[in-house]
Amino acid sequence: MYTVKYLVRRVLVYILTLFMAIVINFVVPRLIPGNPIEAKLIQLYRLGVNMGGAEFVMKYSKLFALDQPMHVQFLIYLSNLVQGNLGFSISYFPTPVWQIIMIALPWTLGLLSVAVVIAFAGGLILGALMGWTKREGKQSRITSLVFSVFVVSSQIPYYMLGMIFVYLLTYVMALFPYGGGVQIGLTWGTLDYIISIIQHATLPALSIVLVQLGGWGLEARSLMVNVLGEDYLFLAKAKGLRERFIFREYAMRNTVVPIVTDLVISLGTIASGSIMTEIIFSYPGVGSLLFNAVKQLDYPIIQGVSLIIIFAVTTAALLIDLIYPLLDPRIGEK
Amino acid sequence: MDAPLLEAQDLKIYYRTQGPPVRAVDGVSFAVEEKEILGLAGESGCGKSTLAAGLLKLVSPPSYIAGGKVLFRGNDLYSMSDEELRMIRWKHIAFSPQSSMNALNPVVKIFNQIEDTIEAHEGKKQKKHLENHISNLLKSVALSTHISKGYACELSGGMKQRVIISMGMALGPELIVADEPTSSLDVIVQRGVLELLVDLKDKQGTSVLLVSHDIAILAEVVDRLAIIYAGKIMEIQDVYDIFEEPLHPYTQGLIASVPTFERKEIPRSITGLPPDLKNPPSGCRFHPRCSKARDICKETEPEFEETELGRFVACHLYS
Amino acid sequence: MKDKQTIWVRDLARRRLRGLRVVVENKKILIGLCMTLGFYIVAQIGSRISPYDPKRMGDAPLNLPPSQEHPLGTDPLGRDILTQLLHGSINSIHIGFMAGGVAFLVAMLLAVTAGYYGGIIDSVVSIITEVFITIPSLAILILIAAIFGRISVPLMSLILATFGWAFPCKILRAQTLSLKERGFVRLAKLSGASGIEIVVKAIIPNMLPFLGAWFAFATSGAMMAEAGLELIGLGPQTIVSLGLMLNWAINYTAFTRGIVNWWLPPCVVLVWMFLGLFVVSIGLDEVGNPRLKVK
Repeated sequence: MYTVKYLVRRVLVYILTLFMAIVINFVVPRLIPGNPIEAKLIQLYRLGVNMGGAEFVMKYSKLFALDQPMHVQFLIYLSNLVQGNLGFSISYFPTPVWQIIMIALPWTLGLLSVAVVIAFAGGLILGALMGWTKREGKQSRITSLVFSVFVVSSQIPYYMLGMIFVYLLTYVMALFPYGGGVQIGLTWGTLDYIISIIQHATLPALSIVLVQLGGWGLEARSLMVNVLGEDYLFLAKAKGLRERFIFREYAMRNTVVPIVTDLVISLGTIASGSIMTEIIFSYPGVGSLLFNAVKQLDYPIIQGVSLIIIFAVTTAALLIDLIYPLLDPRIGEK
Repeated sequence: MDAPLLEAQDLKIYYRTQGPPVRAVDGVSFAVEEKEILGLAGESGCGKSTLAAGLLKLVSPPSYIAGGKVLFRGNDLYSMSDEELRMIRWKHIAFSPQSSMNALNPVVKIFNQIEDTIEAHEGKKQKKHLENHISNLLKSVALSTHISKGYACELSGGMKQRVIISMGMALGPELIVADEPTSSLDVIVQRGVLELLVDLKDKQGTSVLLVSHDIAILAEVVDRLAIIYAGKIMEIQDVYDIFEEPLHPYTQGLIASVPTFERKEIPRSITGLPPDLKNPPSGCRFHPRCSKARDICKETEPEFEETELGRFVACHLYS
Repeated sequence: MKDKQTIWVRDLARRRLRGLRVVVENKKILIGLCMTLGFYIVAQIGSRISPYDPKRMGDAPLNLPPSQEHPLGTDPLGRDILTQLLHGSINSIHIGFMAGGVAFLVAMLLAVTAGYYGGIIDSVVSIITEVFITIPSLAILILIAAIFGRISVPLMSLILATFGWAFPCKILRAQTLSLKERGFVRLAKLSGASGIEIVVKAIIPNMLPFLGAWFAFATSGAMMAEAGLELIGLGPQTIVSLGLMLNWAINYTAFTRGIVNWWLPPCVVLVWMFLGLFVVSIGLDEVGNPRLKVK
């Protein structure tokens, strides 16, 4: 099933991607002439933030070994990374970056995993069914309507839907709370706590789900329509198999396979979109973290979050790519 | 005479277009008897594949059944419910499609694809029982059993074709409709497939409707031969008779165009092109290309009649 | 030699004419084009008619609700919102088309070269494409934009293009591969046409519907990315754009203050443009693959 060639290629792409991300992360700040620490300090000072002057510069310069030649710096950087050392945050000095990220990350992961699973599974099934109804030629009015809705909804960026939700459901009708992941003051683990989490997460999740549902629905429908024209579907009917069986074993199986590839490709887009959504809702995930870090020019956090996001997305892609040959026996044979 | 196994009566299958429909099968009547191989010969685009699929009502848009009946042992397949038709498909009438390249589900094991049709008609079986049955099926088409554990992408074109034929035999049908089962195969595999079909007829009494554009192949295995042109049947005869004395000018042209070892002269092809099935020629559809055409051929369509016992032809030369 | 050439050139010309007719007849393409171009024309006219300056603060009273003088009201800095919208739309569209166009051209060149010539070129391009597809572009965009501080419009367009080319490239390469095997390409080869000739005269013209569809995709992607960047506050901020309007809206807490007339219009315009481009690309997809039609 797996050929060495397939594995090697997948892992190669993975490593290259990570490496490129790391290199960019390393190089970009160092492109600015002069001591980046000093530059940051000057910028912050202009904004009215005084971080402490010379002592700060020295400590940080040593940490980042800015007095060393580039390649040494890079090696130190790499070794820091491997140990999980992402540096220290400027605005929350001396809190280490990874600690700050670890607080925000579970919120994002929780929100995304739930939203994506619902949207993907739902869109896949709805879209496949929509495509399946085309086998007799005519499409019912309902299907056409749903199709049109999906066409429109799939083009709305998540954050825009979020804005509309915030306006309608939080401002106009105070049905949902705004900001944060959970109400402050509640004890961890109690039922109230859990309910509050759900309340706060519903709108952001809904923004993501409603848009993605349309996207996956359209894709699944298109794939199913292609499957309908295939010879094996014709033979399945000729074999006298039951309709539901044909739908499941012949149509769906062949629709799921290519759509999983699309999932891998979309991971980056989904990550980007969810960052925006968090910002709109002030949801305490890595998206908001990134946004605030940008406002405060907290470069270590910006770099750290970018790195984490890239790492998460590429790893997820690799995992799915490794599962893929199990679904489709044709891959991995190349 | 016994009732025929399968009988098509005035079958019409058309394709919807933005203009007039394409009359791919336009009033076709013929019968397949028990324990016989009936060949159906015609040029590309003359409607034979549409006909073959249409016999089992396997028409999908834009094609549709425009009229006629298909009687299987006297029962009209077209007026049956979907469920009744489903039970007849494969169990009584099996189908081998024209292109085997994509006819197998790419993501399901071969074993499961044979298994699912057995179970769809005969209910769940014991694993051991199934494995034996499928193993025998594959052996009978000269394929080794371990193929069943693999996938379609691991097989060559010839192997896929044989898998499909073995699937067709799985439920012991009385009739196999084979649409160009040899067109994508090399000559050696072709021979194997043809011999297999003859074997089925001789040993298990299975009838075969063999559709092909290749008269030479048909000549070797069929008992009777039907000639289809522009959506209509032109002639049906016993195979020896038809080669000795082809009645319809089209048949004569077809036979003359096949190179043989005996004839020394260069084979002649039939002049002209197959007609547009949206607007077929008036009267006899072959008249524009027929060297023996007369005035009546342009005006009236000839009846498809039995001129002598077992010899059917649609031509004004004989009415 | 000359006879062979004329044969396949004439064959191509026939195909091209057929193709053009099909494109014009497709309703979706027409609708989509009307939506996008139509709006663009309206915006151009409107922005010239408007007497207001979209960026100068304090021209008018603050936070006015919609009125006859200010059809969309004014923002918290006293600027006419409708004027902002019109200028912003034009800028966003320009950036989108520029960045999208560059991304598309790069994608097309790489895809066709890699697909047609194969070999090492193909392997290298494929791997690079995969890497660029997998990386979540926003993360890198944010990184670059944040570090560089104030970036200029051309630089932003360049960065946007850098992440817009990968996906179209992958698909177009697949298209090239399948076209390579078609009869008329073989005919051209047999007629002695050179590689470049074949690519330019045979392959690209037959990919036109898909090329168009992916150009639309690249443009809408660039517009979306630009809006996203501006929204976070990482854009040039020197010219008014739709994303910048949204960024202002966030910074002035327009959502929780209910200033709908400020943040909703940019959203509507953006969705309108995305939708228009999307419909064009669906239409072009249908032209290339007629089975997909929703009848």
